[in-house]
Amino acid sequence: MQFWCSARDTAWTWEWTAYPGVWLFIILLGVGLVRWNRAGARRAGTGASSLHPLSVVGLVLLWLALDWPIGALGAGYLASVHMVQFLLIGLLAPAALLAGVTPEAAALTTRSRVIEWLTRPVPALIVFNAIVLLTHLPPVVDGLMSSTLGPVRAQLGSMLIDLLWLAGGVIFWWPILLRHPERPRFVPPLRMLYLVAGLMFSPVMFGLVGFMVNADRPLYGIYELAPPFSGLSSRDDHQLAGVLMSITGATTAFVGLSVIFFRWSKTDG
Amino acid sequence: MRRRAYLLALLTVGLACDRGEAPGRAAAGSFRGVLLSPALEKPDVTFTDFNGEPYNLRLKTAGKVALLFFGYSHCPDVCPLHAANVAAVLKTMPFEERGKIQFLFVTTDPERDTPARLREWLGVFDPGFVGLTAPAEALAQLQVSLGMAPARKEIVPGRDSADYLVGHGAQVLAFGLDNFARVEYPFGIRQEDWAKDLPRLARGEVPSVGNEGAPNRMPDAGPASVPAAPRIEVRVALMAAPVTTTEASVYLVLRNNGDADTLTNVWSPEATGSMIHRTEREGGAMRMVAVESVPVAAGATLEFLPGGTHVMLIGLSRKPDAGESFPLRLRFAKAGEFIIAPMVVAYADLDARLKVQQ
Repeated sequence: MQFWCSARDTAWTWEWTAYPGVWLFIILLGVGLVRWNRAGARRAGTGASSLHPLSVVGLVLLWLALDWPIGALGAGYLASVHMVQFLLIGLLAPAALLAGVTPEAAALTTRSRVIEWLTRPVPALIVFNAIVLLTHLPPVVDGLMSSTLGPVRAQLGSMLIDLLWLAGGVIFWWPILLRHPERPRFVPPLRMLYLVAGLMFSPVMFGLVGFMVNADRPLYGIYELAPPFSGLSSRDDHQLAGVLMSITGATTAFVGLSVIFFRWSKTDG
Repeated sequence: MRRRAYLLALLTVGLACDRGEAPGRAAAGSFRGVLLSPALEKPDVTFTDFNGEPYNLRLKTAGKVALLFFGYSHCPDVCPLHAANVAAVLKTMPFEERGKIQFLFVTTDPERDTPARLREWLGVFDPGFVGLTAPAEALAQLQVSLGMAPARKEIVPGRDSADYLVGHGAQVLAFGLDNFARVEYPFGIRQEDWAKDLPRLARGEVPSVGNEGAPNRMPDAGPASVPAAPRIEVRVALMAAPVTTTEASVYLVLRNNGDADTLTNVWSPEATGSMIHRTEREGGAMRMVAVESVPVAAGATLEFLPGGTHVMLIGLSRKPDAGESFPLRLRFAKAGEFIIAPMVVAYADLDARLKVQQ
């Protein structure tokens, strides 16, 4: 009976496993970004642009989060690794990916009313927080990723959560990272406030961290029902996940605030 | 080894996931474990503990709740999980209650589980846990007498023969203060379930089906410790070992000790679908007819047997082997909902087991 690790349908081993689907996804995403930038350049009549180094960083972060071992460990074994996945897929990778999108490419999106509305600061903040909350609710995590659903459905559930994180992260970072002549970014103080409200003092993140760190019992059945990992109890694992969310969320916000502040002061000076 | 068909999944993200609940959830107010009917009497057996001392189960656990589990320390999943979760919950219980709970780990792998190994391994979880061993034949008999298939060694193809697995029952039997086990805890039981049930067991409460609301407290005197008849009594619960995960048949004999009632739903958190089938003769051929609900009169017995009405589970999450149990939930219009754990038996043994259990 080895049905505890939903990502692998077998007991965990440190034996390397290939995930060609992940590689294909990363390649397709990279190709998509290049084509998007090129389409923007064509429309604006500027020179063709290649993949920005920051977008490469974003793709690498995504690949690390989805491929072995983080992908498999996070999908069925350790809540703390699941949190690392969230931070990489939902927070860091989208920021890096969007930072590499040219203003000309960003201008292409103004034709879509849905994107236009979704990427306004207030809706973006609400959607991001709603996705973070939804994808961390124990019934949703256990309901989508539990191995009792069968390995294929558990993997599909896990991927759905990954995609929601990526979408949420892109929506969150869009208003403060993408710029184009038709839609200038909002003023730096409001951008800083946006980061504070979205990451540093987000009630959703605060609540989740509080539950993960202080709950008497592990929140997620899927990680509770994985055997203890080298002296790390399930509760320790959940607490570590909470601490990671808290520290990384605040650090990301702090770095973002610093970048916005110093650029703003430079411009004003 | 399975690989993620990630791209395919991305293209078919339209998921329709039903919420499979963890096994072990009985109706509100009742115990979280799986109720055993009939109750199992604590066997009068003497093991050898990990200190080399004789360990008589009844004498050593008198006045305590004995959580009896058959497993092995090299187990990659179920054994460390049960041990870790029980240990985690015991740590949060008051000293007086904790002292009334004894976790007993009977090794099914004496070859590798030396006393020193057992002591060290169990000590990682809780120094109060006791490791036990018994001669192979006695151990096999004991497991059968407790309704489990004897543990068996499983050589994994491609792995060193010394690196074998042991197939064994995944449930923890909880013998109450009255020396009867009326509840067992299968794999999938969570810490919050243990945390609900252990203090109640330590206080001497007696689990029974349909005890929503008022706990059925065990009387102090001896004979009264036999539990009151539950509203729905599970007399037989067997699953024919399926050949694949496509489908499996479950056979039940249930007695309704309460008012007239209706079985409205049967399903398993480990199957994507379920149906109640009635076998009918049409012309010269037999055919299966799906049944929505099954009424059961007061005092009547409901029989789901081969050739008649039975439960069909579809799309199992795993292929259970003979000797394992498989969670099944029943919902009655009046008696409410509860979970049972039909034992999986080889198809060839089904008739014999049905006769014995009836």
